[in-house]
Amino acid sequence: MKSLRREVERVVAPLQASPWRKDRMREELQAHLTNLYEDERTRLSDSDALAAALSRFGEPAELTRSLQQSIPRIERIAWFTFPGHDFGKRRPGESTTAHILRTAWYVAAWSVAANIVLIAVLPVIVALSRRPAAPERPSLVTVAAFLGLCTLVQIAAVTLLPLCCDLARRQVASFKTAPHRRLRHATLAALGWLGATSIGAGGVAIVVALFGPLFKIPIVNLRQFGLVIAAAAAITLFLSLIQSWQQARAAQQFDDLYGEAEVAE
Amino acid sequence: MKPIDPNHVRGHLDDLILAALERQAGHGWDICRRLEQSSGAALVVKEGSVYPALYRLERERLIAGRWEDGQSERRGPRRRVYRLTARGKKQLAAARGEWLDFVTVMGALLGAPA
Repeated sequence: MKSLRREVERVVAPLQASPWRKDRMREELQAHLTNLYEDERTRLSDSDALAAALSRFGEPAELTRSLQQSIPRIERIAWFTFPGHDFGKRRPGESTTAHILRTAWYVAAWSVAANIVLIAVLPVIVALSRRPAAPERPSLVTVAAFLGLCTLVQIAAVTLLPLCCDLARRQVASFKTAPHRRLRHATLAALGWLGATSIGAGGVAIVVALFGPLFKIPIVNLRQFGLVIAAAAAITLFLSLIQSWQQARAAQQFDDLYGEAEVAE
Repeated sequence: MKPIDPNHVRGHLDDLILAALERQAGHGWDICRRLEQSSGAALVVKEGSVYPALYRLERERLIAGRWEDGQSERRGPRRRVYRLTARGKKQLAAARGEWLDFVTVMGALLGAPA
Protein backbone atom coordinates (compact mmCIF):
# COMPACT_ATOMS: atom_id res chain seq x y z
CA MET A 1 0.00 0.00 0.00
CA LYS A 2 1.49 3.30 -1.09
CA SER A 3 0.42 5.27 1.97
CA LEU A 4 2.47 2.90 4.11
CA ARG A 5 5.45 3.06 1.75
CA ARG A 6 5.31 6.85 1.82
CA GLU A 7 5.28 6.79 5.61
CA VAL A 8 8.30 4.51 5.69
CA GLU A 9 10.02 6.77 3.18
CA ARG A 10 9.40 9.78 5.44
CA VAL A 11 11.29 7.93 8.15
CA VAL A 12 14.13 6.46 6.09
CA ALA A 13 14.82 9.06 3.38
CA PRO A 14 16.41 11.72 5.65
CA LEU A 15 18.84 9.23 7.22
CA GLN A 16 22.57 9.66 6.70
CA ALA A 17 23.27 6.03 5.92
CA SER A 18 24.39 3.85 3.04
CA PRO A 19 21.75 3.05 0.40
CA TRP A 20 21.88 -0.67 1.22
CA ARG A 21 21.27 -0.03 4.93
CA LYS A 22 18.37 2.23 4.01
CA ASP A 23 16.94 -0.48 1.74
CA ARG A 24 17.12 -2.97 4.58
CA MET A 25 15.37 -0.55 6.95
CA ARG A 26 12.72 0.20 4.35
CA GLU A 27 11.93 -3.46 3.92
CA GLU A 28 11.75 -4.25 7.63
CA LEU A 29 9.73 -1.17 8.57
CA GLN A 30 7.44 -1.71 5.61
CA ALA A 31 6.80 -5.31 6.69
CA HIS A 32 6.03 -4.23 10.25
CA LEU A 33 3.78 -1.36 9.22
CA THR A 34 1.89 -3.64 6.84
CA ASN A 35 1.32 -6.10 9.69
CA LEU A 36 0.08 -3.28 11.92
CA TYR A 37 -2.30 -2.07 9.23
CA GLU A 38 -3.66 -5.56 8.59
CA ASP A 39 -4.09 -6.07 12.32
CA GLU A 40 -6.06 -2.83 12.68
CA ARG A 41 -8.13 -3.53 9.58
CA THR A 42 -9.70 -6.57 11.23
CA ARG A 43 -11.67 -4.19 13.44
CA LEU A 44 -11.58 -0.75 11.76
CA SER A 45 -12.36 0.82 8.40
CA ASP A 46 -9.47 1.28 5.95
CA SER A 47 -8.79 4.94 6.76
CA ASP A 48 -9.17 4.45 10.52
CA ALA A 49 -6.95 1.37 10.34
CA LEU A 50 -4.27 3.41 8.59
CA ALA A 51 -4.42 6.14 11.23
CA ALA A 52 -4.32 3.58 14.06
CA ALA A 53 -1.40 1.71 12.46
CA LEU A 54 0.59 4.92 12.08
CA SER A 55 -0.16 5.89 15.66
CA ARG A 56 1.08 2.52 16.94
CA PHE A 57 4.14 2.76 14.72
CA GLY A 58 5.32 6.07 16.22
CA GLU A 59 6.10 9.60 15.17
CA PRO A 60 8.25 9.60 11.96
CA ALA A 61 10.64 12.38 13.01
CA GLU A 62 11.32 10.71 16.37
CA LEU A 63 11.85 7.38 14.66
CA THR A 64 14.27 8.95 12.17
CA ARG A 65 16.28 10.39 15.06
CA SER A 66 16.44 7.02 16.82
CA LEU A 67 17.40 5.20 13.64
CA GLN A 68 20.09 7.76 12.89
CA GLN A 69 21.67 7.08 16.27
CA SER A 70 21.72 3.35 15.55
CA ILE A 71 23.93 3.89 12.49
CA PRO A 72 27.70 3.60 13.01
CA ARG A 73 29.44 6.97 13.23
CA ILE A 74 31.82 6.20 10.35
CA GLU A 75 28.87 5.45 8.07
CA ARG A 76 27.11 8.64 9.16
CA ILE A 77 30.20 10.63 8.20
CA ALA A 78 30.66 8.75 4.92
CA TRP A 79 27.07 9.43 3.86
CA PHE A 80 26.84 12.93 5.25
CA THR A 81 24.36 15.07 3.37
CA PHE A 82 24.22 18.85 3.36
CA PRO A 83 20.95 20.61 4.15
CA GLY A 84 18.99 21.10 0.94
CA HIS A 85 20.78 18.17 -0.71
CA ASP A 86 17.44 16.78 -1.88
CA PHE A 87 16.72 19.73 -4.19
CA GLY A 88 17.24 17.35 -7.08
CA LYS A 89 14.48 14.99 -5.98
CA ARG A 90 11.28 15.01 -7.90
CA ARG A 91 8.41 16.49 -5.92
CA PRO A 92 4.97 14.89 -5.76
CA GLY A 93 2.85 16.24 -8.60
CA GLU A 94 5.88 17.45 -10.58
CA SER A 95 6.23 16.19 -14.15
CA THR A 96 9.53 14.65 -15.22
CA THR A 97 10.11 17.51 -17.68
CA ALA A 98 9.45 20.17 -15.02
CA HIS A 99 11.75 18.28 -12.65
CA ILE A 100 14.54 18.10 -15.23
CA LEU A 101 14.23 21.80 -16.05
CA ARG A 102 14.15 22.83 -12.39
CA THR A 103 17.27 20.87 -11.46
CA ALA A 104 19.03 21.82 -14.72
CA TRP A 105 18.52 25.50 -14.08
CA TYR A 106 19.62 25.16 -10.49
CA VAL A 107 22.87 23.62 -11.66
CA ALA A 108 23.17 26.25 -14.41
CA ALA A 109 22.66 29.07 -11.91
CA TRP A 110 25.49 27.73 -9.75
CA SER A 111 27.69 27.37 -12.81
CA VAL A 112 27.00 30.97 -13.88
CA ALA A 113 27.67 32.23 -10.35
CA ALA A 114 30.96 30.30 -10.15
CA ASN A 115 32.12 31.64 -13.50
CA ILE A 116 31.16 35.22 -12.59
CA VAL A 117 33.20 34.92 -9.40
CA LEU A 118 36.10 33.53 -11.38
CA ILE A 119 35.93 36.34 -13.95
CA ALA A 120 35.82 38.91 -11.14
CA VAL A 121 38.70 37.36 -9.23
CA LEU A 122 41.03 36.75 -12.20
CA PRO A 123 42.19 40.39 -12.65
CA VAL A 124 43.03 40.53 -8.94
CA ILE A 125 45.07 37.34 -9.18
CA VAL A 126 46.86 38.65 -12.27
CA ALA A 127 47.52 42.02 -10.59
CA LEU A 128 48.90 40.33 -7.49
CA SER A 129 51.07 37.99 -9.53
CA ARG A 130 54.67 39.18 -9.53
CA ARG A 131 55.64 37.11 -12.51
CA PRO A 132 56.13 39.11 -15.71
CA ALA A 133 53.39 38.59 -18.28
CA ALA A 134 54.39 36.17 -21.00
CA PRO A 135 53.84 37.65 -24.46
CA GLU A 136 51.73 34.70 -25.56
CA ARG A 137 49.50 34.75 -22.46
CA PRO A 138 45.83 35.27 -23.42
CA SER A 139 44.26 38.54 -22.37
CA LEU A 140 41.73 38.79 -19.57
CA VAL A 141 39.03 39.54 -22.12
CA THR A 142 39.80 36.28 -23.88
CA VAL A 143 39.69 34.33 -20.63
CA ALA A 144 36.39 36.00 -19.66
CA ALA A 145 34.93 35.25 -23.08
CA PHE A 146 36.11 31.65 -22.75
CA LEU A 147 34.45 31.24 -19.35
CA GLY A 148 31.29 32.94 -20.65
CA LEU A 149 31.12 30.56 -23.60
CA CYS A 150 31.76 27.59 -21.30
CA THR A 151 28.85 28.76 -19.15
CA LEU A 152 26.54 28.93 -22.17
CA VAL A 153 27.63 25.45 -23.25
CA GLN A 154 27.10 24.18 -19.71
CA ILE A 155 23.59 25.66 -19.53
CA ALA A 156 22.68 24.11 -22.86
CA ALA A 157 24.18 20.78 -21.79
CA VAL A 158 22.53 20.52 -18.37
CA THR A 159 19.17 21.52 -19.84
CA LEU A 160 19.00 19.74 -23.17
CA LEU A 161 21.01 16.63 -22.39
CA PRO A 162 18.70 15.29 -19.63
CA LEU A 163 15.67 16.14 -21.79
CA CYS A 164 17.07 14.10 -24.67
CA CYS A 165 17.86 11.23 -22.30
CA ASP A 166 14.34 11.44 -20.88
CA LEU A 167 12.87 11.30 -24.38
CA ALA A 168 14.90 8.13 -25.05
CA ARG A 169 13.94 6.65 -21.68
CA ARG A 170 10.23 7.24 -22.30
CA GLN A 171 10.45 5.63 -25.72
CA VAL A 172 12.14 2.55 -24.29
CA ALA A 173 9.48 2.39 -21.55
CA SER A 174 6.79 2.51 -24.26
CA PHE A 175 8.12 -0.75 -25.74
CA LYS A 176 5.98 -2.68 -23.27
CA THR A 177 2.86 -0.53 -23.33
CA ALA A 178 2.65 -0.11 -27.12
CA PRO A 179 4.49 -3.04 -28.70
CA HIS A 180 2.88 -2.45 -32.14
CA ARG A 181 4.77 0.86 -32.46
CA ARG A 182 8.19 -0.43 -31.53
CA LEU A 183 9.90 0.84 -34.67
CA ARG A 184 8.68 4.37 -33.96
CA HIS A 185 9.75 4.16 -30.31
CA ALA A 186 13.14 2.72 -31.25
CA THR A 187 13.71 5.51 -33.78
CA LEU A 188 12.75 8.21 -31.29
CA ALA A 189 14.90 6.63 -28.57
CA ALA A 190 17.85 6.54 -30.97
CA LEU A 191 17.20 10.18 -31.88
CA GLY A 192 17.11 11.09 -28.19
CA TRP A 193 20.52 9.56 -27.54
CA LEU A 194 21.87 10.94 -30.81
CA GLY A 195 20.66 14.40 -29.76
CA ALA A 196 22.35 14.05 -26.36
CA THR A 197 25.57 12.89 -28.03
CA SER A 198 25.47 15.80 -30.48
CA ILE A 199 25.05 18.30 -27.65
CA GLY A 200 28.07 16.91 -25.78
CA ALA A 201 30.28 16.63 -28.83
CA GLY A 202 29.04 19.96 -30.27
CA GLY A 203 29.80 21.82 -27.06
CA VAL A 204 33.34 20.49 -26.94
CA ALA A 205 33.77 21.23 -30.65
CA ILE A 206 32.71 24.87 -30.25
CA VAL A 207 34.93 25.49 -27.26
CA VAL A 208 37.98 23.79 -28.77
CA ALA A 209 37.54 25.31 -32.24
CA LEU A 210 37.09 28.87 -31.00
CA PHE A 211 39.54 28.95 -28.13
CA GLY A 212 42.03 26.20 -28.85
CA PRO A 213 44.33 28.44 -30.90
CA LEU A 214 44.10 31.27 -28.38
CA PHE A 215 45.15 29.04 -25.50
CA LYS A 216 47.78 27.29 -27.57
CA ILE A 217 46.05 23.94 -27.16
CA PRO A 218 48.30 21.65 -29.16
CA ILE A 219 45.61 20.50 -31.60
CA VAL A 220 47.19 21.36 -34.86
CA ASN A 221 45.35 19.42 -37.48
CA LEU A 222 41.86 18.31 -38.42
CA ARG A 223 42.54 14.66 -37.59
CA GLN A 224 43.39 15.44 -33.96
CA PHE A 225 40.41 17.74 -33.74
CA GLY A 226 38.21 14.93 -35.07
CA LEU A 227 39.63 12.50 -32.50
CA VAL A 228 38.81 14.88 -29.63
CA ILE A 229 35.24 15.29 -30.88
CA ALA A 230 34.83 11.53 -31.39
CA ALA A 231 36.04 10.93 -27.83
CA ALA A 232 33.63 13.59 -26.54
CA ALA A 233 30.79 11.95 -28.48
CA ALA A 234 31.61 8.48 -27.12
CA ILE A 235 31.81 9.77 -23.54
CA THR A 236 28.55 11.71 -23.91
CA LEU A 237 26.76 8.72 -25.39
CA PHE A 238 27.96 6.53 -22.52
CA LEU A 239 26.89 9.12 -19.93
CA SER A 240 23.53 9.54 -21.69
CA LEU A 241 22.82 5.83 -21.51
CA ILE A 242 23.68 5.84 -17.79
CA GLN A 243 21.51 8.91 -17.25
CA SER A 244 18.55 7.29 -19.05
CA TRP A 245 18.96 4.21 -16.87
CA GLN A 246 19.09 6.35 -13.72
CA GLN A 247 16.05 8.32 -14.87
CA ALA A 248 14.15 5.07 -15.45
CA ARG A 249 15.08 3.83 -11.98
CA ALA A 250 14.10 7.13 -10.35
CA ALA A 251 10.82 7.23 -12.30
CA GLN A 252 10.02 3.69 -11.17
CA GLN A 253 10.71 4.56 -7.53
CA PHE A 254 8.67 7.75 -7.86
CA ASP A 255 5.73 5.89 -9.40
CA ASP A 256 5.93 3.29 -6.64
CA LEU A 257 5.44 6.05 -4.09
CA TYR A 258 3.32 8.67 -5.83
CA GLY A 259 2.07 7.00 -9.03
CA GLU A 260 -1.46 7.15 -10.32
CA ALA A 261 -2.23 3.64 -9.13
CA GLU A 262 -2.75 5.26 -5.74
CA VAL A 263 -6.13 6.57 -6.98
CA ALA A 264 -7.37 3.04 -7.42
CA GLU A 265 -6.54 2.06 -3.87
CA MET B 1 -3.06 -3.72 35.56
CA LYS B 2 -2.62 -0.02 34.79
CA PRO B 3 -0.76 0.74 31.54
CA ILE B 4 2.94 1.50 32.05
CA ASP B 5 4.15 4.93 30.96
CA PRO B 6 6.41 4.25 27.94
CA ASN B 7 8.87 6.82 29.32
CA HIS B 8 9.62 4.41 32.19
CA VAL B 9 10.69 1.82 29.66
CA ARG B 10 13.18 4.14 28.01
CA GLY B 11 16.63 2.84 28.80
CA HIS B 12 15.34 -0.69 29.36
CA LEU B 13 14.07 -1.42 25.86
CA ASP B 14 17.31 -3.15 24.81
CA ASP B 15 17.12 -5.52 27.79
CA LEU B 16 13.42 -6.16 27.19
CA ILE B 17 14.19 -7.12 23.59
CA LEU B 18 16.95 -9.48 24.72
CA ALA B 19 14.50 -11.08 27.15
CA ALA B 20 11.86 -11.40 24.42
CA LEU B 21 14.35 -13.23 22.22
CA GLU B 22 15.65 -15.49 24.97
CA ARG B 23 13.39 -18.45 24.39
CA GLN B 24 12.82 -18.13 20.70
CA ALA B 25 14.12 -16.14 17.76
CA GLY B 26 11.71 -13.68 16.20
CA HIS B 27 11.27 -10.58 14.08
CA GLY B 28 10.24 -7.10 15.19
CA TRP B 29 6.54 -7.91 15.04
CA ASP B 30 7.02 -11.02 17.24
CA ILE B 31 9.03 -9.04 19.76
CA CYS B 32 6.29 -6.41 20.11
CA ARG B 33 3.64 -9.11 20.58
CA ARG B 34 5.76 -10.95 23.17
CA LEU B 35 6.33 -7.74 25.15
CA GLU B 36 2.62 -6.99 25.00
CA GLN B 37 1.61 -10.48 26.11
CA SER B 38 4.24 -10.84 28.83
CA SER B 39 3.20 -7.53 30.36
CA GLY B 40 -0.50 -8.39 30.24
CA ALA B 41 -0.97 -5.57 27.70
CA ALA B 42 0.23 -3.07 30.32
CA LEU B 43 3.32 -2.22 28.28
CA VAL B 44 2.65 -0.68 24.88
CA VAL B 45 5.72 0.68 23.11
CA LYS B 46 5.69 2.65 19.88
CA GLU B 47 6.43 -0.30 17.65
CA GLY B 48 8.75 1.53 15.29
CA SER B 49 11.08 2.22 18.21
CA VAL B 50 11.92 -1.48 18.43
CA TYR B 51 13.92 -1.29 15.19
CA PRO B 52 16.56 1.26 16.21
CA ALA B 53 17.09 -0.89 19.32
CA LEU B 54 17.38 -4.04 17.20
CA TYR B 55 19.96 -2.40 14.91
CA ARG B 56 21.91 -1.20 17.92
CA LEU B 57 21.89 -4.64 19.53
CA GLU B 58 22.92 -6.28 16.28
CA ARG B 59 25.78 -3.83 15.91
CA GLU B 60 26.94 -4.74 19.41
CA ARG B 61 26.63 -8.42 18.43
CA LEU B 62 24.17 -9.12 21.23
CA ILE B 63 21.72 -10.44 18.65
CA ALA B 64 22.18 -11.78 15.13
CA GLY B 65 19.73 -11.31 12.30
CA ARG B 66 18.99 -13.08 9.04
CA TRP B 67 16.30 -12.55 6.45
CA GLU B 68 13.25 -14.79 6.61
CA ASP B 69 13.58 -17.54 4.04
CA GLY B 70 11.65 -17.32 0.78
CA GLN B 71 9.56 -20.40 1.62
CA SER B 72 7.20 -18.35 3.78
CA GLU B 73 3.63 -18.21 2.48
CA ARG B 74 3.40 -14.61 3.61
CA ARG B 75 3.31 -12.03 0.83
CA GLY B 76 4.91 -8.57 0.89
CA PRO B 77 8.24 -7.28 2.17
CA ARG B 78 10.63 -9.69 3.85
CA ARG B 79 11.18 -9.73 7.59
CA ARG B 80 14.41 -10.16 9.44
CA VAL B 81 14.52 -12.79 12.16
CA TYR B 82 16.75 -12.08 15.16
CA ARG B 83 18.20 -14.51 17.66
CA LEU B 84 20.12 -14.01 20.86
CA THR B 85 23.89 -14.58 20.67
CA ALA B 86 26.07 -15.96 23.46
CA ARG B 87 27.18 -12.42 24.15
CA GLY B 88 23.53 -11.35 24.28
CA LYS B 89 22.77 -14.07 26.82
CA LYS B 90 25.57 -12.81 29.05
CA GLN B 91 24.29 -9.26 28.71
CA LEU B 92 20.78 -10.37 29.61
CA ALA B 93 22.02 -12.15 32.72
CA ALA B 94 23.95 -9.04 33.75
CA ALA B 95 20.89 -6.84 33.09
CA ARG B 96 18.77 -9.10 35.29
CA GLY B 97 21.30 -8.83 38.11
CA GLU B 98 21.39 -5.04 37.81
CA TRP B 99 17.64 -4.89 37.76
CA LEU B 100 17.33 -6.96 40.94
CA ASP B 101 19.79 -4.65 42.70
CA PHE B 102 17.89 -1.62 41.44
CA VAL B 103 14.52 -2.96 42.57
CA THR B 104 15.92 -3.94 45.96
CA VAL B 105 17.39 -0.50 46.58
CA MET B 106 14.38 1.40 45.21
CA GLY B 107 11.98 -0.84 47.10
CA ALA B 108 13.81 -0.13 50.34
CA LEU B 109 13.86 3.61 49.63
CA LEU B 110 10.18 3.74 48.74
CA GLY B 111 9.17 1.48 51.58
CA ALA B 112 7.77 -1.07 49.19
CA PRO B 113 10.16 -4.04 49.13
CA ALA B 114 9.94 -6.23 46.05
